[in-house]
Amino acid sequence: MRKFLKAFFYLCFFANSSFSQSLFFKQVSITRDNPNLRYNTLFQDHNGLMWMATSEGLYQFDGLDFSRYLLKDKNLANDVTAISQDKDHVIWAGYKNGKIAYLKNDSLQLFNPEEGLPAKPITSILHDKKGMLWITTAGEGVYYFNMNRLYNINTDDGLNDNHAYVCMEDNSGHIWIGTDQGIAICSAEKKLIRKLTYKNNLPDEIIRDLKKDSEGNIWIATQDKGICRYDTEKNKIEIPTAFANWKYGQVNSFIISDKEFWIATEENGLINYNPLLFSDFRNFKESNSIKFSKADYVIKDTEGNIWISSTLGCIRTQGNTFSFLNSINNYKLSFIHTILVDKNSNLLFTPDQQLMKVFFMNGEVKTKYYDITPNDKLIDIVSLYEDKFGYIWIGTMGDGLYRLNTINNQKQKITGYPDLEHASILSVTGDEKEIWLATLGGVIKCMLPADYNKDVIQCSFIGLENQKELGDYFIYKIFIDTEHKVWIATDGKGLVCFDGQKYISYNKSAGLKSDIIYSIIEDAFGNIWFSTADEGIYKYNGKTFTNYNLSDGLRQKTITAIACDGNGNIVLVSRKGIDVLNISTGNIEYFDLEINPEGINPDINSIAVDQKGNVWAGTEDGIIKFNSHYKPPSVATKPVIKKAISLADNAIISSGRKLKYDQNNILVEFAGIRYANAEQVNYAYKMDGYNKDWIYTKDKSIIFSGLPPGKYSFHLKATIGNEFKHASETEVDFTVSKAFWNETWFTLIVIFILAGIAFFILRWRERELHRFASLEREKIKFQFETLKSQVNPHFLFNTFNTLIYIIENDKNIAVEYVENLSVFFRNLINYRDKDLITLQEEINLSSSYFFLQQKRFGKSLVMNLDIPEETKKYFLPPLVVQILIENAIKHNAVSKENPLLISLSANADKLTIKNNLNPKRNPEASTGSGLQNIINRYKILTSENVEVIKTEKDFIVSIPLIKPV
Amino acid sequence: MKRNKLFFSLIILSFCSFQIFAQQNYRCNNGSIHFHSNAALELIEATSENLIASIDPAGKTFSFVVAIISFRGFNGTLQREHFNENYMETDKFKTAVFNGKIIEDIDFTIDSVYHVRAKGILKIHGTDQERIIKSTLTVSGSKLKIDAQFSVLLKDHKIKVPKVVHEKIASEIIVTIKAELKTDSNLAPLER
Repeated sequence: MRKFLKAFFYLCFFANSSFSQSLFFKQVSITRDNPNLRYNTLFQDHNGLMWMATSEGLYQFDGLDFSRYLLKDKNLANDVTAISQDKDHVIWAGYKNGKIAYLKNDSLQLFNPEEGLPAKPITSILHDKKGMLWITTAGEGVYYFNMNRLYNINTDDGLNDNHAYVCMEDNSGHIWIGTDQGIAICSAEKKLIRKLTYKNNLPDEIIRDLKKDSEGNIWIATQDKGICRYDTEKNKIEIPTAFANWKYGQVNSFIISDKEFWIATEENGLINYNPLLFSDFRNFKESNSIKFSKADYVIKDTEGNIWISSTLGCIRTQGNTFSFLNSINNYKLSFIHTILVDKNSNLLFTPDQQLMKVFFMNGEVKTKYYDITPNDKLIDIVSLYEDKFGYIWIGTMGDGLYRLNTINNQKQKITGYPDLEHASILSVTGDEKEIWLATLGGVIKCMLPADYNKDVIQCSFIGLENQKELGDYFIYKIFIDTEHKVWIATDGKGLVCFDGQKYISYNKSAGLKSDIIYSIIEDAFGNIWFSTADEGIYKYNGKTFTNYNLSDGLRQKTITAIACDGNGNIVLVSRKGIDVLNISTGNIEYFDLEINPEGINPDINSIAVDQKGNVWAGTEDGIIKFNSHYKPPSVATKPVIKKAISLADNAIISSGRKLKYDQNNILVEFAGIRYANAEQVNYAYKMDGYNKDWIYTKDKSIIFSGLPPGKYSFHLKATIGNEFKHASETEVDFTVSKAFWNETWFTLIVIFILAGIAFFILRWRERELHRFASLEREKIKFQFETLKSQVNPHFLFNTFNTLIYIIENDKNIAVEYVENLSVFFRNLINYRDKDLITLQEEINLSSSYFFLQQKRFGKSLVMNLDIPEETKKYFLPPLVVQILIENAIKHNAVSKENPLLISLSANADKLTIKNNLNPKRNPEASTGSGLQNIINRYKILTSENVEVIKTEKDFIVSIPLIKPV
Repeated sequence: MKRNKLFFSLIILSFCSFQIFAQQNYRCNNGSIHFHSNAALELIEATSENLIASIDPAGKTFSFVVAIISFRGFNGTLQREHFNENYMETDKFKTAVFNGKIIEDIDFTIDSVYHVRAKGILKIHGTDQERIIKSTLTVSGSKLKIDAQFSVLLKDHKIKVPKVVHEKIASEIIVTIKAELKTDSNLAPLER
């Protein structure tokens, strides 16, 4: 079998090789159980989020999760055909039914211009630099929205064809429209400016896609004739030679970036054209695990990934970042132990115990095979080294050391040291004068002769097996740094450095955790990096050792091979795959999920770096190439807050928002965009005003419930791995207001109202007190007045005179008179302290008073009583009636001709005291206080007033009666 | 009367380019066109029943003409005078015209209600403005009913309004059209 292989390789000697280099594709499908879901176009927004226009709605993708956006109107189909983003970052979507919608407050709103919307499918949407909206349709030409009016350009205006596929803005602000009959160049001012057709050397008039390159030239994808270029300097169409014989059929979409093309074709899947890497088109239709023949759309994201919408759904690849070499001339590569890139960028590697060289000659890939170990006893080649003159030193596993001239195929087995011809040489390195060999039997130094620039040389050797710093036997790696120090990886003695004079050991006694070292490399800053068998890797900066271990994001403690890539980062190879340690941030990113690293070969020399910084890693079934152009930003891009809402009412929280006290349950959804390794994104967040420290999580959403009133600032960082030091931050500031009852204004109002109430109570009370006081005062005054009037000498004089007269005439009546006088005074004394007495009591009192007066005036004084029995229990202030009777007698002349008639009548409400007026000629001096005192006392007692009516004839006083409660 | 004749010949002239003499054209000369200006201080409305309309179903082309002088309504005769003399300059620009083509493909032989967009040049006050106007066409036999509403911006048509009356005249005028068109054979000849 091996012989056959060798023969096969001989046949290929210097032959053109079909060099199968494939890409790693990953399916990014929303759902696997909906085969009808079609992906129409793809779009990346300013935040880096991916948007997918599908036959069943608009989807947003953050690397892990999809969000679906549907039109609110359930009657409308959700077949999205175009996506764009305006200058305010609003996402717009065009639909197959001609509808256009935009995202506002996280939901789709229909765009509704006065002019109405197209009835034909929207093929593309563009927001130009001026902010104007351009829409191409399949059947109605082009629309543009200017100053709130929608305008149309169709064949009536001279447009080539009403079926337009695509629009694009050139550097002068003109809009290029690709139609079924060539290109139309338009502007809002002039509508159609000019056309490009066959006449202008366009190879095909069906224009499928238009793209602008960094120089401003326009690249035109045609249906049948591949891609051509419009040179904006020369103003003419040119067909690049590579595209002259296009054989991949209809182009649906393409991208151009740095001269590299990715082309989505109708029948041939994805095509890559990268003149810097490969001379010809590369077609991945057949060579991949994910095979698709129809690709509809292709875009490149800011991370460098290529996204394709295809018959197999949405597919993402890191493009040429990682490529996979798995066969040459249909011979499957396998068991690649060792790789070397020589000074001429040729690749040497050892498939299946052979040595093969792959080189580029005149833009073509060629292979060459070298016969090293004996044909009948093939032995694994485990180390390769190219010396200053291009000789390749080959270390084998048990068959010693060979030196090869790759030009003339001359090889020499190096001998001259005991057992060298059967040695296992794990690592070879050297400089101008000497070659160092790491063997399973210790270190051997090989001194080059003066005439080393020959195919056959004679070397002298120095065995270092007795050097106690190097341990007993196993040496895994020897590395010479830029300062010509020799670093030796030992098994059991740690890392040993030979600076030309002495050996210095760095091992457990020097603080290292492991004494078994596998691989050594120097970075661009002169730091020495080395991997250990069981404690991760170390960085040595000449003074201190820094360990990177599981806690730093390393996946495996055993790292066999390390290399420094084109960006200066450290590439680590372990059984788990290929990881990259960013030396500036310390973040470690894993790539196994991207490249399906089954059979990664964790041999010490299975990794090589070429002059361009590409890393080549051997695997069980091929070689993985890691392109140095790829710059792994170890920190994910600035994290995006996808959604921040109050859970109570779905109110959207943007920075600066003031929330009500009951909007304090908050949901924040976010994403750190890193499509290649979305699973590895970790987050740190801190809600200033709530969290004291950063909180680390892998979750992409958080709920803050019951945030107390206050100012908050939500900070979010995202990173690949564990190191957040260099991660950029996204921030949202907002305020949760106090509940209104906690607000100062509310407290003030409450205090004010309470103070008001207290004030009114106090005032009321004061008034009451005042009222009582005045009642008391009036009462006292009244008592005084009454007493004064009763002990008035006039009254006594009159009374006594009457008495004298009566005594003389009738003793019995005199006794009665005195009795009445006595009753009157007793009642007077009894009642004067009371507030109220019954009408009955008052009548009794008044009757005795009247009796006294009547005896004096005889028939000239008449009193009529008309008091119903039921009113007698009503109340009134004491002495009111008596005062009024007294007043009537006092102010009127009482004579036989004009008798004074006093009538008392009462009803349920009031007592009326009426007397006829017959005023005295010489009125008695009156204080006028009697009647006034009654009125005052009533004012205090009830709301009803004392009525005083004075007619020509009568004087009437009505006194309200107070009903017993 | 003389003036009327002149006006009609003018209309005929403008129609010539739109093949109104082809068979089965839909026509009418008594369509209704109404406008209202809803300004902060005043609502101005006027209507003309003299809208002349013609649609050629074969070429999907159409033509609408109205004599500005035929608008009636307004809030008094003085306002109408101002409208004609100061704003519309009816002496100079006698008609308002909308000529163009329907964007959608519709089959006029099938009775139905069609929502279409008419793309054309709207000429008011002597100023051309390209417009797309949404309208509803109801086809029933030989009759075609048109309903449309659209806005006209004064500045689009260089209609100058003195600052003094700014509050009385809206910058955006809403125009409503209702017309019932019939095929040529059903229409009495316009002019003998």
